[in-house]
Amino acid sequence: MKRLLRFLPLLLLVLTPAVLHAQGRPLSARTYDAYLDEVLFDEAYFPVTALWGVIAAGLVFIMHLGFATLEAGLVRARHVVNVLYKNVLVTCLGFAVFAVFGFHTMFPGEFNGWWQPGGFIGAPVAEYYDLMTPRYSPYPWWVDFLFQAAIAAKAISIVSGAVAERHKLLSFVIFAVLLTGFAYPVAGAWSWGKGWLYRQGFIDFAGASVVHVFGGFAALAAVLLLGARRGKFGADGKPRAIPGHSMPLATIGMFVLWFGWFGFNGGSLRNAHPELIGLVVTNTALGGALGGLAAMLLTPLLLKKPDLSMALNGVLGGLVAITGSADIILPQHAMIAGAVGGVIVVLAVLLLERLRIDDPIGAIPVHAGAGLWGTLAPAVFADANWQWQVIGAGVYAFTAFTFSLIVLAALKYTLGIRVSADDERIGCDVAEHGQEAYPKDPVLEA
Amino acid sequence: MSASAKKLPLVTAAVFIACSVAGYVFFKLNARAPAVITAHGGETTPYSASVTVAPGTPLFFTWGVTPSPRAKAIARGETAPEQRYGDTYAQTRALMTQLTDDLREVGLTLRDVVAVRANLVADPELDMDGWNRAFGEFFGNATNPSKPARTTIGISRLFIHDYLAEVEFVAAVPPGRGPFTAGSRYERMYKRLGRVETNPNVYTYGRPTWPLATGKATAPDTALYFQSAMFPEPMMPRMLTMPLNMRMFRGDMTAQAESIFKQSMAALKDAGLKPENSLFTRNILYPDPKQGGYLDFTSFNDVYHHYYNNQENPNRVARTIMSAPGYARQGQLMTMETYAAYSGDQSKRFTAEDGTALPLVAYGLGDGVDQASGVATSPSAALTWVSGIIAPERGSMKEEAEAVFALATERIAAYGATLDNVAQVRAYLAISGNVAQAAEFQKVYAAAFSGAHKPALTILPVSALADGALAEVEFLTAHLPK
Repeated sequence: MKRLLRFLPLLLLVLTPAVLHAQGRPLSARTYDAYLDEVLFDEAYFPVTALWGVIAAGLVFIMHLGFATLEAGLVRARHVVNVLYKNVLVTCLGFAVFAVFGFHTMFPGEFNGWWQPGGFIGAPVAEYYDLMTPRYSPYPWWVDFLFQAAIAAKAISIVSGAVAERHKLLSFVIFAVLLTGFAYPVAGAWSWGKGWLYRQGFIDFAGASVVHVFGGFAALAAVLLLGARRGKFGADGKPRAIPGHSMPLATIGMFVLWFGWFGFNGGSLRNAHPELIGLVVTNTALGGALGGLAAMLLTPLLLKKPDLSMALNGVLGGLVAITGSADIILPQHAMIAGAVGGVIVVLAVLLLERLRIDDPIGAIPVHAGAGLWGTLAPAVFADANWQWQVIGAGVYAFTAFTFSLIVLAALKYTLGIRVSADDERIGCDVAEHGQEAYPKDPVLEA
Repeated sequence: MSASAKKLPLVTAAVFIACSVAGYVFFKLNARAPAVITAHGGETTPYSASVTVAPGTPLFFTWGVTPSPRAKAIARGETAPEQRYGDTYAQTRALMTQLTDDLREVGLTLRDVVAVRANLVADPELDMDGWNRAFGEFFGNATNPSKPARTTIGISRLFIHDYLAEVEFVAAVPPGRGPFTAGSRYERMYKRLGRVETNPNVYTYGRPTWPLATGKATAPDTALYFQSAMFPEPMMPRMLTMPLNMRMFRGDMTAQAESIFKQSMAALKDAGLKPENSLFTRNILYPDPKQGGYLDFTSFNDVYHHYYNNQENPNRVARTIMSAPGYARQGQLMTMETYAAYSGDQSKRFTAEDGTALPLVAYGLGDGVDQASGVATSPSAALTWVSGIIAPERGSMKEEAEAVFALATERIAAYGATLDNVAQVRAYLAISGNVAQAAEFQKVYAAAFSGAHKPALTILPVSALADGALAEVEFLTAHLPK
């Protein structure tokens, strides 16, 4: 006993801090709250956020390469130039129309909640200080524009994949201008511009509805009006698999998209918040991973063989599924949301085939299907108001579908939206562009 | 094409129409205010006559938000450099956008707002058109049909000369939202900050380095306390029981602020509270006529730090600060109202000696005093915010005040309460320095509350009121629902 007592001082020394600790944090202790305030309002933080904004914009920009490669890989060889051409076109168009009209319309600052048409994006020299310093936002004005303009053409990129191999180029250009330049910024303002949906508590972090549901349902309207590719469904209505011409290209496209998604979600913070950047990117990685795994697990069960294009679309479905909530859910939620997204994509692909709706690259299952789920995810995992998540998703689906249906129907009965049967047979590349993606060498063949 | 493929457009159209109709009905159902809020009246006005909150509902009090530079408008080249903040319309819609963000942090939306208080700089008239236009973009429209209670007053100026508006919200937190919902994201987001709270029933929002909070959220079933507008120590001790125009004050801002804070603390103590329990203060500074209308914001702020946001009391309250004419001609330089929240079991406080439950308890009553120093409201009482009432017709102060109290009695009776349930009366008088008229109003008020119960009281001379009215009065009541 005496020997034990000798250790008493030591024991006290060890136990005292533990007891104090258990009583709670003393007032003088630095809290996470105080730490965050020091970091986020430090002057040195502003260049960091600006730099992160530019990097994120770059990553989002690279997603256009991802879309182009993915779509090129999943179409047949004689339509590749056409698909690539459309992707180059929408990228250029996105920046241009967003500078002229879109940015101010989508982000009007204060407005009535419905719409306020904007003008050119210039910054008045007299007010430069207000726009280029933290007085404006954690991003300076130009970075804010750059990031949003890089996202702007995403919706029409989604459409370009679904209508591949059969959409007339000229009518596609007109549709792209109207969708990217008008419908997307006007509808986007309702949520991202702090419009009426935002005011009702609708949460859409990086565009599960604003971008993906919107693009997916625009694609659905386009595909319904266009009809299936010739030969996709036999006379008896049985679907025929039409494999893409280059799975390596498609795989590269998926990886580039995934890579770009880190900037898409991370940049949507509009901030370089040290904790949230990490959380958002982690959620993005896990969402995509679980989406891919779920699709790879489900496809062999349903189709007997592990299909690569299903795996690729599963990853993308997982990424879309966490886009609406990446900043407010925890990694375990991101894993569940991503897996559900992957499952939805596989099931939606099969459903579309049964409905005889032809979507060559699976854009509708990925963006409309997983996008709807991604909009509900904040309600499932992060206490968002589920009624308004449902309404928000419905509003974006409705707006995109109706707008596209009207515009494309008008085009169908004037210019025509579908290439002729002959053109489709010889391929859009030669018919519309007079060019082949993989031409024979004219010297050797001569 | 097969026969089934031909049917596809028809089926799609049918599904589309069915979804649209169902979606519209769903939208209409969910655009209404949540069940914890009941609005009364307001068919012809942009706001409700009164809004009742179910007993025990947690509340969220915002600070009085002032404008920020209109960065987006500047980018569009819409403002001249000297008009950085825009007019009343531009400023109020910017404030409401800011407040929407503040509400979102707690999981609330504009549908949950119960009371809106707008302090607009009257220059010299109130820009009610601009304010109503901005208000209509956020409340009582197709996307947000809910209408909160509202009071609008015209004041002299705000902290910065270009500011034309200051808006504060009180919102009711529906079930499942707010930081007190265990296991919710709102709790997680709040708890991880590791904030030190002086009152376990109140959570603080806003930057930790700011002297004030931008919002305070109360726990469910919290008893609240509403204090009267405080007067500093008068020149002679009995003056505070005299009519308003007979009271005289001296001393500079520091002395008067010290005196007011001391009395506020004493009144809190009277009601069983400490400054650690406070959650909101509304400070009205009167421009000093002897110094050409100078406003000593700095001295006031120094004194504020003796009582809040210091080592002993780290409590940072949500704060509204503004300037109105007040009783500056009688030497008074400021006044202050404080709200607080009780912690712990308060069931004894709200039980009468005969065992009946009380909706509210008034403190600081005494001989010759026609008001309470503060009123505590029971967690089992339903709180009702009654919008500012003005007389339907212009007349003398006596006529207008009597018409206001007659209307108030009617509106309070409409939801099953009486004047005995009034916790707080806030009267704004546009009397352009004629304090005798304030005394006139005081008489009508005293006649209305001649019984044993006295509410907490603020009588504030302001710059202007809507419709050129002389008096506008808003009420807060607490009643036990049947």
